[in-house]
Order: sequence, then C-alpha cells, then structure tokens
Amino acid sequence: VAAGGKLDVPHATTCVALRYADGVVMAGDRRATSGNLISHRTMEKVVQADRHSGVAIAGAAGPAVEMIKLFALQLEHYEKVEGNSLSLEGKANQLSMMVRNNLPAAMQGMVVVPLFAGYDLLRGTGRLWSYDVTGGRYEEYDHAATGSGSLHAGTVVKVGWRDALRPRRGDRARLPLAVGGRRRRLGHRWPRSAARHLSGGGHDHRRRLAAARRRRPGGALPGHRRGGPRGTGGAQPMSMPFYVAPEQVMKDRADYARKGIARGRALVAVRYDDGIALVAENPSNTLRKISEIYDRIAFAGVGKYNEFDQLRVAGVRAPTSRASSTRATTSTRAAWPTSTRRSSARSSPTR
Amino acid sequence: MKPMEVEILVAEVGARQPDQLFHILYDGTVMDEKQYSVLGGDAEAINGRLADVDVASLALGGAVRAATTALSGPDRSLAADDLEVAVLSRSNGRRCFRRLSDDEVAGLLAS
Repeated sequence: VAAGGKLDVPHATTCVALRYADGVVMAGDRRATSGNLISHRTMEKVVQADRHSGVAIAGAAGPAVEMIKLFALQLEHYEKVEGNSLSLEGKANQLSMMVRNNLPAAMQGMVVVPLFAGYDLLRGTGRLWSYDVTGGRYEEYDHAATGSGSLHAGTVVKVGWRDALRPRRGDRARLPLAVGGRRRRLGHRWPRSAARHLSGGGHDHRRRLAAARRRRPGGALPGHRRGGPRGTGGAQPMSMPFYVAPEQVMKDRADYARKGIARGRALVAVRYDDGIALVAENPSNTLRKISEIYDRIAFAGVGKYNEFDQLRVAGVRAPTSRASSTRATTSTRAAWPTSTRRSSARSSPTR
Repeated sequence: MKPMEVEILVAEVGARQPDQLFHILYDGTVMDEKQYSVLGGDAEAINGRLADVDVASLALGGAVRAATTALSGPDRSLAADDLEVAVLSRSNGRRCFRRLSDDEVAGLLAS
C-alpha cells in the first residue's frame, strides 16, 4: 500500500489494435506497473479469445486477466452448446457486459479497459472496439489504443496508418515502436481472404435493432400461456392392456429404433495419421451431426435429430456440471449431512 | 417410454494414450472400435467398402476421400456441399476439434 493509502496493484499499461488488409493486429507492451515501479516485464496483455478474435487489456492486471479468461470460456461454451460461435458483434457485446459488471471495482480503482478485435466472417473484414469503464462499447474503424500510454501510442499508429495496410516488414516494425515492446500478432490464425473496406453502412446493426424493437408486440412475452390448463374432458374408463411377452416388447422397441436409424443417412469416422476425421452425409448447413464436446472429444449422431442433439448438449454440459458439483462438495461438505439429518428428524414424527 | 432412435459416436484423440472410438447403439450397447466406425443407414455395405481400404496410414485427404467413397458407394458421388466434415486433430492446439468448410472439403476431395 502506498503512502496515500491507495492500493498499488499491478497495472497493465498500453495496448493498440489496428486494422490491416487481412484482419486486425493487436499489440501491447510487456510491462506492468505498480505506482511508479515496474512490477512485471513479461505480461501477456494480448490474449486470443477464440479462433477469430482477441482481447488486449489495460488496467488493473488481476481483474483484467480473470475477465478475459472468463470471456474466452464463455465464448467457447456458447460455441459448443449452440454449435455456432457468436457473431463478432455479439462477442463485443458480451465483453461490454463484463466490463460494466466491473464498475463497482472500477470505482475503487480497479479499472479494466480492454480492446476487442477480430475478424468478422460475415463481412470479411477485421473490426475493432474500444471500451470505457461503464461498459460503453465503441467501434473504431481503423485503429485504437488503450491504457496509460495510449495517447502517444495512438498518435504513432495514427500517423503511420494507411488504408488496407499489408503486413510488410516496415509495418511490423512500426507497431513495437508505438508501444515500446515486443509484438504479438493474432493474424496468423485468421483466414487469409482478402478483406473489404468497411462500408459506409457500418451502423446498420443499430437500425436492425431499432426495427426489431418496433416489431415486438407490447403485450405478453412470447411463450407466455394465457388461461389455465386444458380440461381432460371427463373421466376415461380404465382398460386392461393385452398381455404381450417381454421379449416381444423388446423386439418391437428394437425394430422401431432400428427402422428410424436405418432410414437416415450414414456417417463415417476414420482414424488418420494426425487424429480422427468424421464425415457425414448431411446436406443441411445448420443441423449438425458432428460437434465438439470437449477439448479432445467429438460427438456424432445419426437418427432423430432432436434426440441426439439432447445427448450432445448433455455431453457438453457434463464436464461443467461435474466441475461445479465437486467444487460444491468441497465447500459445503460440512453443511450437507447436518441439513439432511435435520430434515429427516423433522419428518419422522409425522410418519 | 419411446425408445431413442439414435446411434451416436464419441471419439477422442489421445495425447499419450491411443485414440478411441466408441460407437453407441439405440439400446445403449457400446462398441469400442479401432480404426473406423460407421453409423446409420446402410452401415453394413459401407463397413464392407471401408474394410477394403487400408486406413492405418492415411493422411487427412486420403481419410476424407476414403470415407466419402465409402459413403457414396459405386453408383453415385457426393460433393462437398452434401457432406459435413470435421476433424479431431492433435496439431490443432488445446481444442482439437475443427469443422472443415465446404471449400476445404472440395480441395481435399479434388486432390
């Protein structure tokens, strides 16, 4: 704690991001400071959030690193459960919410202000966003800088920036110059298709949002049912089912299932020298038969889509729920047995 | 209760241990398969076609082509947009799963 009673937590200092012909480059210096001292020289401030996006952080290092780890995890989980990743704009919104949730900590000095950048697969261009402490999200078209040195770094980038930059030697050298550190580039992971320039209609999402809001009826929420449950229309006479041998029941069920599966198109998994290839005959682009369950595990299903999709989602959630339940048992081990004993003691006299 | 009309495959690429392919049937039967696995309609015929291929030493392109010809059979051919292809690749970093785009599949089928 410094003399003034203020916490001297490590602060990540400066990051810049700029758009070039094939995507976005993000860079940060490797330095963290505590007050006027250097506390760390090998910080990693530019972090890959998922395959097509990255975050660069400035501000209190502890909450910032935690925030982007959680952010990356949320993107990954969404992608696995939904079978599709969020749009780049959706990711930017998600990060905006996380920055806003940090506002109470920011009021006490733990400010986190990230930059978010990525390659927009829908538009075929790199895009970047800067943030403020309240979660404000501002799309920058060409370049952005954040952190204590952002004024100078931003100026250097602004002077050197040209439209549709190509990653040549000179441009690469300019970045470390701006932030005074070593360059870390995310671009090599991004598709190398030719980028288009951002068109003038860059804010069409706002228009779409406004249109959606206008369309929404003022009345009940979708899925909200009015009235009570439907009547059953009088008592049904009870009937005895015919006797069917259990073997016959099992055989019928097996035939039923087998017929359903045999009607569907086939799927093949083949091992190859670097892993496993999964190939399905599937003309649909949205109803997936093959998907990701965990880091090294894939899932594939044939037959009724809704049924194997339920199994898939259960598979994605299983590791998460197991992790949280083991965490719960370690923290509430003392509380659990006593509470069950108490409830059983209370219920026994009435029995 | 209605029986599930599904057949699923759970595949894992090993970091140190060998790869695993578990083929699970509608009644819960689990089959541990070694080199390849076929699910769905016409599985016996496809299995027969794959049995002729030496899948032990294939590269990605070869594996996708072998799988596609086995799926299509001798009478028809499947193009990239009829297929859904994904890989679990050891060289893909932490998350081994990757979906191949139609362009990539077309490239692999053509090569």
